[in-house]
Amino acid sequence: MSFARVSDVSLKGYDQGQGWESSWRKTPALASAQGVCCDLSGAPGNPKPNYYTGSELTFTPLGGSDPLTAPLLSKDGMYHGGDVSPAVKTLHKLLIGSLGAGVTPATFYVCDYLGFYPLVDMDSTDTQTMTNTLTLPRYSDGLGVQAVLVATNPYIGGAQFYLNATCYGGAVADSRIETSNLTTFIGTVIHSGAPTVVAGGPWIRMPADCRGIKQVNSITFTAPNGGLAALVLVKVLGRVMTNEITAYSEHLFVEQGVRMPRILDGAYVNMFCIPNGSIAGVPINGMISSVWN
Amino acid sequence: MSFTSIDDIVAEIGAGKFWRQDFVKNYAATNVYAAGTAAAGRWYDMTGYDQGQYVHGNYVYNAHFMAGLAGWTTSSANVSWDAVNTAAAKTGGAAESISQNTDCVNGTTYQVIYTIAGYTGSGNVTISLGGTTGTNRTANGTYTENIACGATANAPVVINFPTTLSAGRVDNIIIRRLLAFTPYTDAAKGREINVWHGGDVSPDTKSLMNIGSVANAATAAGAIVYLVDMLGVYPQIATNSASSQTLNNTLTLPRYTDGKGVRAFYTLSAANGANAQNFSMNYTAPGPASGRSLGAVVANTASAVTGHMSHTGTAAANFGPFLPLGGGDTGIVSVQSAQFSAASASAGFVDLVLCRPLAYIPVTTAFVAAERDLLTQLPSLPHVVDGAVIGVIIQFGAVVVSGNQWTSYIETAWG
Repeated sequence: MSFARVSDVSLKGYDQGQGWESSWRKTPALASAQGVCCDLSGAPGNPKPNYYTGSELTFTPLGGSDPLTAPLLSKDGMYHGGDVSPAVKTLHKLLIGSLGAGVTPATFYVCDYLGFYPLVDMDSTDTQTMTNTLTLPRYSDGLGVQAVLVATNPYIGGAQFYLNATCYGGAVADSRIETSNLTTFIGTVIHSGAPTVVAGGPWIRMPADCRGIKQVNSITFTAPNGGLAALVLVKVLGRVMTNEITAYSEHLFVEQGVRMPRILDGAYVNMFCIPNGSIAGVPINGMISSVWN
Repeated sequence: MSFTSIDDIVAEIGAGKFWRQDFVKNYAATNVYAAGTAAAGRWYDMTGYDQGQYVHGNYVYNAHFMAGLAGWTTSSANVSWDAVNTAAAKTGGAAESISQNTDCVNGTTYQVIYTIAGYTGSGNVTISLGGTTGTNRTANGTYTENIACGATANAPVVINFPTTLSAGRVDNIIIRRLLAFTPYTDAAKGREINVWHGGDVSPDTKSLMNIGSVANAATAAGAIVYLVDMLGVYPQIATNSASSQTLNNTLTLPRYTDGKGVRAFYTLSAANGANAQNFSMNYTAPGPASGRSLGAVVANTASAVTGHMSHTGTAAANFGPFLPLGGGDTGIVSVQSAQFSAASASAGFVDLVLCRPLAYIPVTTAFVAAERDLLTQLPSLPHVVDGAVIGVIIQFGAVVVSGNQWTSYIETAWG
């Protein structure tokens, strides 16, 4: 069961030890640009970087505890205390800050990274068909699952692309056509917004009737874009912000704007960031706390 | 019933009664509403802008083919999505068609608009509604017809391509009943507007818990992002007429049926050109109390920006975001007529929207995320009723330009 009342959080999570707190630190090595979303999972630091290694265009799960199926396990992400089933785990607190103006003010998305399709060739205008022998390790019906295209090699940008995906409920749909930004840096979300191009948000936009992505069937670029990318499937747990380079930001997910994002067994937790500029060499660090009952 | 305590909220969310939805609104020149030079202090209806571009009152889903052929049935694989031109394209030497069921009513006349492009070959391209076929078309162009819906079951809109058309595409298919109230729900007409909020939960009561938004440019900051439940629209009130225009109310409010708390705004769907003109309307207030008039003289502003709620702004007699109701009125059940005091210079149109306000959030600074906790920070927990179509209107704080966007989210819970 989950928590029945607010007081359970301190009682169970802290008095009775049903909680965990981890520190984390990311110091991205590569540049980024103001307003363009970046994937922090690939940045050096703690937890260790995620390089999206796997077979070309083949769904590769993240998380869990089996190294034969996933290149990075649950413990390789922001550690949240391990499996607790049949108890239910909730993200409780996130402390986050960066003392550099390259990062702050910034918006962060804490996500359960479910898996990815590596080595999408952004220069190819052929439809690139995905292999889905393995399926979503969590949120297996796809409800609320989003897709994001992360550059794993430098790119030129300016081209458009779309996905064909199987949505929650089984319907097959094409995404809205997305436009690559011109940011060019590894680790950036290539379709995220920059004021000078007509780009979207951090997540690839699906049609109104698609409530989430169960699997991606293919990706098609309509013109060469340059570079390689990983197509990542995530479940967003929460969004937090930092406003001042002189102050860390603390977020409570139970008592403050009650939302209680659930962290499933096996979750590989990491973050995306929409920074104020280049995050290269700028440490971002904090704490993540979970509680369960 | 709704939540009884914070403990109750914790228990319900812990049981999984929670939904989080990210969304983006992007003021873009290539959208259904073409972005122009926007003015600070004016309100803009984001319905026609990504994500989820939609023309008010349209009976057709995915009319602009922004994301594949969702909602459409094709005769064969020879009709496919043209991703570059965001259109439905026909190839090959066979007769082909693309169709979609509608809820148009047999015998009722609808305005039907569609665009043909890339016409190669010969022969007649036609559109039909409920089995009633429109005019034969043999060239590229945007065509407007008035078609009385036929008796074919499910009132399909069908576009037929002849064998002799070797290539061609169609786009921007709009079917609307002019001046007639067109209700919106999250499973039917208008659902492209909707920020998905988790679906029907009755007999539970759903509340908006948290909202957030961040602007991607200085010109997008200083804004107010306002979430409303879009209830429906009276499409295409002409601005170049000084006569009273009678509105049809065969269809009624889909939610908040007693009209309490329902507000109105209108949004420009075709540029109206210069001319000083005031707007008035005759409506029925909750009670019901018929024959009500607006509570003030409302000045309409000439504008070239579709999506501009042209009764808003900083000029004298501008009101925003909603039209001022008559004294003592607590909402709107229906609107019987609308009138401009003078004809505009151009043949413009506005769409009169009825909505239920939910919550707003000021976005103060570029890249600084604004967040509102509607439980402890601003206790209100606005209800999101089954079928709600959560749309976005924004007061711009500066000269917003194409490419400015607001990356946003909502979180709902129910119990």
